[in-house]
Amino acid sequence: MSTLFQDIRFGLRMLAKSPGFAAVVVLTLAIGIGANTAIFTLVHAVMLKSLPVGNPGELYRVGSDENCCVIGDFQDNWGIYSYDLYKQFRDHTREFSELAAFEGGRDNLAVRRAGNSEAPQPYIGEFVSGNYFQMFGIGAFLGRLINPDDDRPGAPPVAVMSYRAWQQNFGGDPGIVGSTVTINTVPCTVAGIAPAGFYGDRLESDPPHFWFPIMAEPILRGRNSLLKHPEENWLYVIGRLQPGARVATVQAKLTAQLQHWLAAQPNVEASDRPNIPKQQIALVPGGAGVQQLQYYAKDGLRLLAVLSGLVLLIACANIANLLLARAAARHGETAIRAALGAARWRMIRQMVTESVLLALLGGAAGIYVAYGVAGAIITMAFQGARYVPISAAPSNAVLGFALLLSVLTGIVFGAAPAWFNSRVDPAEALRSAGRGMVERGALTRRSLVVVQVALSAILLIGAGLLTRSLRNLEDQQFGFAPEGKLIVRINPALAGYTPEKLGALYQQLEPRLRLIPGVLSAAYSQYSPMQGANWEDSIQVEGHPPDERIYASFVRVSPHYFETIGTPLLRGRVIGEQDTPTSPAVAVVSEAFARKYFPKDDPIGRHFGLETPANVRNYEIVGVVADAKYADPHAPVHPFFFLPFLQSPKGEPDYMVRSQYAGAIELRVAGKPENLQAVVRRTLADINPDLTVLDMMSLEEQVGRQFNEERLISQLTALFGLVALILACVGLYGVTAFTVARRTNEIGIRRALGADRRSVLSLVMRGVAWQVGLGLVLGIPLALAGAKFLGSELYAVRSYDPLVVAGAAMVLIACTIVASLVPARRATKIDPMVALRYE
Amino acid sequence: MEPTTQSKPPAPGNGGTNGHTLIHLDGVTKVFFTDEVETHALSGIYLDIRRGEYLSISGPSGCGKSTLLSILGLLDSPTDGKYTLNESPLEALSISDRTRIRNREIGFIFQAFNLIGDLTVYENVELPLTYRGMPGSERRQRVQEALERVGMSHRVKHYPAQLSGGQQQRVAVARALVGKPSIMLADEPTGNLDSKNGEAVMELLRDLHREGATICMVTHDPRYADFAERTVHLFDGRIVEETRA
Repeated sequence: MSTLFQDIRFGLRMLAKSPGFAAVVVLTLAIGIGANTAIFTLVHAVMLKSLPVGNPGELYRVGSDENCCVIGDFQDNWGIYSYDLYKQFRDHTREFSELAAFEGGRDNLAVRRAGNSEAPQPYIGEFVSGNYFQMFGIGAFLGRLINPDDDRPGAPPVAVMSYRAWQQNFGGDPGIVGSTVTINTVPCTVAGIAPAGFYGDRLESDPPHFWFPIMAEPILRGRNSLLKHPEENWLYVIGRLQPGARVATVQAKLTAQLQHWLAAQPNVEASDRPNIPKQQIALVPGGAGVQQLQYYAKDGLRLLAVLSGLVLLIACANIANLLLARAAARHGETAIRAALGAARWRMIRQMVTESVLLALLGGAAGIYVAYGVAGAIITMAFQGARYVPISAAPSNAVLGFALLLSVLTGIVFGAAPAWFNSRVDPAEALRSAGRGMVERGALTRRSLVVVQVALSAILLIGAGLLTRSLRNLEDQQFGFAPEGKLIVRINPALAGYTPEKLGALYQQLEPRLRLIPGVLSAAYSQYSPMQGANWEDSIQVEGHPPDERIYASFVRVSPHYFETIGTPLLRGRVIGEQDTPTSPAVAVVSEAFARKYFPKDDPIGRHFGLETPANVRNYEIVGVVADAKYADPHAPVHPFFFLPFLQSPKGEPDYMVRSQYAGAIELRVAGKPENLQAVVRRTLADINPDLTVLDMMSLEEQVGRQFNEERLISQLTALFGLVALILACVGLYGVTAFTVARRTNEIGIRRALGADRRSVLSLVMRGVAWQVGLGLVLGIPLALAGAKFLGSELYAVRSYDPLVVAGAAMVLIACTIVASLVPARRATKIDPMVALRYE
Repeated sequence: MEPTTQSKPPAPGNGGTNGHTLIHLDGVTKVFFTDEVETHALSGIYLDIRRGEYLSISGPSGCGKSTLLSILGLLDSPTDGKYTLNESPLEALSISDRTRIRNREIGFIFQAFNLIGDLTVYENVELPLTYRGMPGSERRQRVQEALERVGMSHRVKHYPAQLSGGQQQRVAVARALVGKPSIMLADEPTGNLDSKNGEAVMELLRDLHREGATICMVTHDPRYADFAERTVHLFDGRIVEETRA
């Protein structure tokens, strides 16, 4: 052990003696280890961490599908349930010690503290079963949590507030517990404060501020309630298994219960009944809760982990090269050690100890880099979010990872130089310094540069493909014009509007908003493009057989809607003032709808209806508009139809009443949309002080948020590519400079024999060209092979895009030429007389 | 001085001093192969070195002195012939065994001192003992004794660059003797020193010999060769003459 301390002491002394070398290596490692530790910070926080609850390993989720938020159809692989189904599972599955349900979606709330005259503030809420907190094994920070007594019909509504909301929005006032707050105009008692750090049943941005018992759902939602709709699935279910319960047995039991329950439901369509035996439930570990974020983030994180790993490999190759050059300079010392009886393993250990010391210093610096990078990634990935329960601060696991990675890195980049340097002839100790020294590891050094160039080519091509893909995504034709539009998110239900009162509100909205100076046109709709919402239903189309399963998405829109968002009318007319609750029900369809369901006919004047054949003539098509993307910017356009507000033809399903609530106001404005925010708030408050603005942003920003992940991955890949390029150039510079120094004598002889500067330059640059060329020859096929795995991340760009490949190669060649020109020019200036005296 | 010539194997016991044979070279040759050129550095060396003997090897540049010293010091191996140290044959040893024996049985003093610039005086002297795996307390005692013996115990924390050439060579001597080797091999130990420091180092070696050390020194300086009890003269890779003091 004492000899190990000697090695460490000597290693530290050597580093102190060469602070420039140590600084370059530590900085390089800080980038390499930092990038990887940053990605691991996110992988750990997102993919590996359990919910902050008691014994998360005992939790199991009923269902593995991440579908959200209200589903009326068979799911095949079920993951979300109605309240009736939850009760069925809870009351008939004794293998669970606790089985809790909670809402799949999120509820926007308008909250005002009792006695406060200010406008209600927007918050986020979630309905949970009475045993929710008990099942998670957590206690209140203050007051009490929701219990089964709160979740009985007729119980007065109570709420539990998150610790963060209590601290940030209510100043940590303990008097809030037991007091009344008005939620969506309904008085509600705050029962207690959830423990600090508890963010609910899933990792997500902007987690709930309030939790309510499920039985309070009809009180807070009124006629939009889902509680008594067994056909509507809106609750996720997680439970704690009894000791000894077998997962496979419970899973089979749950599936059997589901199938029996479905068979007993009178409203299941006859055409669906043959599919009942195919309906399945998987019981999956639920320690991490509902894993929607994990589901969507895993591919991106995997890609970033690979890319950051490549950066670290390049960094290792770079440092190995530096160490090889340094080892050559310390060759004499190694020969002396060998002459004095140092075993080879002992010399290797001493040199690897130095490398590991460097790596540990780099790792320590890398933790700071990781903290910054992880924080930046979180900000970029969740652009627009007010809070994300993911910390960039290094946890014990992250610190352990950084330590392990540092040691491994030290061994990886230190092993080859140590191996070469330890292959020393001890008899060289008898010779004078410098005499008889041969250039060792030259091939290895050049090979390492080739590897760096190849890896850099992979990263640069990847960055090029992803950047092009992002540009294609952002520049695509959305079917509307995002520029100069302001989107205002509202929910009249939160202000106490019943469906009957909506007409009065809508009559005021458009005229009042249009009068705001700078507003060119105003409209409102059920939801706006790229808002993240999608209403889809099965329809019956005139001329199509009743048993044909046809699905289309729909949006209710106000007059002036298409004009405001910039979707062109192709045929017929748009929804207008004449489309009132008492006028015949009409619809406007998208081009894709017309093309798909009326491929040969004129759709104008044709009819369709929702769900049942009896409704087939409910809506008359009066116009066709251009296709527009509403939900997924990556996917092809979807058939859409647009309905006026407040029309409700006979036979329309009950849930359609929820679609009558406008969720977004669209304003086409002159100038910057953001400038109108204050006046829009004032105008809405004038219409109704309880009408809470849930969010407000330009349509460009709303669209831009759809590309958060793509932008993040593209920018990080470009950053990694840039780092790789710099490291490759530094590596090439180092090797070229070292080679020139070693060949000083030879070059001097050549110069003495008549070689001009151009031929010396050519001599040096030929070596560079070989290394870069070979690196590209290896790197480009590898990049193209790897790009196939990028397929799902790419939009409208081929994985072998020749422009990207050529561009990356040109950048790499140009940069490496610049990097190697400095030592090459130095070679041309070697004085033959000086060189011939050089030893 | 009593000149002799040697072209045949010496008779057992030949060596000029009392004591048992420590090193026995029997027909050692060394041939270097470079491309298709053979260079005969040593051609049939027969040599005994007795325990406690002070031997010098002299000869003109390129005669094979350093090659012979490399072989004696196990830094290199002979192409042919037998090398016995402490009655153990060494030709067939593995690299790791040669390293171990070199560490325990042989102390080196180099012309260029070959102290490691990044280690202190103490650490330089301690180095062969650390490779031996000796416990720290024993190492400390040995290093202290060795440095006191060469008069350098007051400079333990100095680095080689802070010492004069003579002082550096005294530290190198301490490093050579700290492991209590069977033999100390000195390669032109005064070659990089001025005459005053050279004399001092030679006096030190003579004192060590008087205390029982076995020393084999390569030198081309006749003044210093005379410090030895016996001198062998090399020419073209052969021992051509042997003289005793």
